[in-house]
Amino acid sequence: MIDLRPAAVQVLLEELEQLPGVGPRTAVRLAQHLLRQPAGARRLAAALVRAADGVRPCAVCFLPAEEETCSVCRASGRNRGLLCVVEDPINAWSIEATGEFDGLYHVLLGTLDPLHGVGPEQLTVAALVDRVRAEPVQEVILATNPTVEGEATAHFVAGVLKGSGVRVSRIAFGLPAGGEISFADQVTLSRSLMGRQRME
Amino acid sequence: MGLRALAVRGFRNLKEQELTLPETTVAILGANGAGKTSLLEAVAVVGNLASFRPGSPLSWVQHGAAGFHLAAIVTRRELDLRLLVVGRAGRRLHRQLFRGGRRLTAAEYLSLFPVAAFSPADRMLIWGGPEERRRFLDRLSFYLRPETYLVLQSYRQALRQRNAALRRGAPDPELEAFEQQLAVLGSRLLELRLAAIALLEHALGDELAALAWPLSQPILRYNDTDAVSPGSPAEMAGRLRLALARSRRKERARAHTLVGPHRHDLELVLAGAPAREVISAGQGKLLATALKLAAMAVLGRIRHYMPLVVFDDVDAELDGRALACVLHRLAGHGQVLVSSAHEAMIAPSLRDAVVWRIRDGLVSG
Ligand SMILES: Nc1ncnc2c1ncn2[C@@H]1O[C@H](COP(=O)(O)OP(=O)(O)O)[C@@H](O)[C@H]1O
Ligand SMILES: [Mg+2]
Ligand SMILES: [Zn+2]
Repeated sequence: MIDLRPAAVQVLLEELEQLPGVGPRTAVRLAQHLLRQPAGARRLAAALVRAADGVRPCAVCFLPAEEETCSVCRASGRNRGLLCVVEDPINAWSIEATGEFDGLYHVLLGTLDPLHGVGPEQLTVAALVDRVRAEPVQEVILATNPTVEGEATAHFVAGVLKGSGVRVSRIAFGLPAGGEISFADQVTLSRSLMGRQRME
Repeated sequence: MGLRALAVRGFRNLKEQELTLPETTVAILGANGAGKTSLLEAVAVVGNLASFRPGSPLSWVQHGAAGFHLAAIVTRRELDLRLLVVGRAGRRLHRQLFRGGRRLTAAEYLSLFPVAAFSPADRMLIWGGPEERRRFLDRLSFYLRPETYLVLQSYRQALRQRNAALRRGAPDPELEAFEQQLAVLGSRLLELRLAAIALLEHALGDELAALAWPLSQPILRYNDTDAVSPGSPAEMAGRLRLALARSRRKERARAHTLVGPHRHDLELVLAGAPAREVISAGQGKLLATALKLAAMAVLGRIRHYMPLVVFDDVDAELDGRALACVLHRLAGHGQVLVSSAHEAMIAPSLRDAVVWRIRDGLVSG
């Protein structure tokens, strides 16, 4: 039997299958679509290259940025005394979209997850502690997801910040435990931000 | 709540067939190996996603088949629900659940058609390990308070994480982060269990009386070796947290969490001794049956559940008088499916029942 797929297509399929949620069948569908529209495929390729080469974590808060620091960190008029700690950038984007939050962010780049070998060293906890020490931070809002790992991480970070003199609060969830912030509608999120509670 | 029709394919030794069920008692009769247990299992799996027979769900798949289909039409509050459980054999059983055409999660599916399943394996409630009684208790808690599902799931996840942290030799603050979760979730689980036990104990007397129980009523004692209950949720959480912190040293060596509700037991105490040390096999079957009937009564009173009852090998380990009591208790309950290999034994108590005969996995009316 001859493999009818040219090498270039095979390579493309292999790369597509690496993406989360993409199995062999979806990969074939995507490849077919791209091959039928070479102009679109080239635009996608350019966008990928630009993102891969041009985007890196903000040196301060770890949100994706095209420069040394991100647009939030550079913006004037943000409340620099208020830090919102999230697991990943998507959560920060959801919170930003509520329009209720005018402070700065800090992205942990994950949660404590011993099952997968993730401890505090794999997260940006140390950088957070440095920030709290060096910057005029007055309050830290812990907005990790209400999952077991998110809650444990919030608890851990609160412990680390104890004695640093900042107020630490946990985002209040009107959400079922086990859920994720990105699933929350904007109203619930706004309410959660206003109803945040102090941690111990 | 009732089962109107069941279609099976690829399940244990059952031939592909569609069954229409009456609303009353059905006596399923057949020789050993005919498929009585398999048929009742199919009903239990459609309702509970679990069998009463110990063993891996993979064993439900017919030898040589890739998977099974169980389709049911269930009447619930005057509405017909179409339920479908599809199982595919792999390294484990992959299952898909549907109501109408819509795919459901297990948590969504489980409350649609609860089945009260009785079988010879109920003896494990008396003579088995603590995990048998915990499962019984948590199942009752789930039907009383569906949030139990999420609490249990999260508790188990926190446990896996803490055990992994112990294995990795993580420093105390990391362990403590998960202990906090275990304490909060664990105390909620305790609350749910203690509430279920109180209801169960209250209902048990009537059931024992109905079964002509010859001994005194056993005491249900929640045994938490770590002594975290009773108390307010905050008190129990506080004690659990302390107990976890205290046992860290011992647990680091074993990489396993030794305190918490996953280690607790529901003890049955008769005249100051564990029931299993005092009672006969037949009495054990009666007591286990009474416990499950009590759970059913509690759910009927509080949640207005009237589950379908399946009772496999109903006459096993019971003498004629005890069997008559059990069958009498179930008469008038609603839909009941009982199986037996001994027609003569159950016939006198089941005059009004519809009789199904089963042979080589095929039912004939
Ligand atoms: N997965 C399976 N596929 C095919 N046959 C099975 C499977 N599991 C069990 N059996 C067989 O089905 C038969 C019926 O078993 P069972 O339902 O327990 O009988 P009964 O309860 O009537 O005594 C037995 O002979 C058993 O070996
Ligand atoms: Mg059997
Ligand atoms: Zn930034």
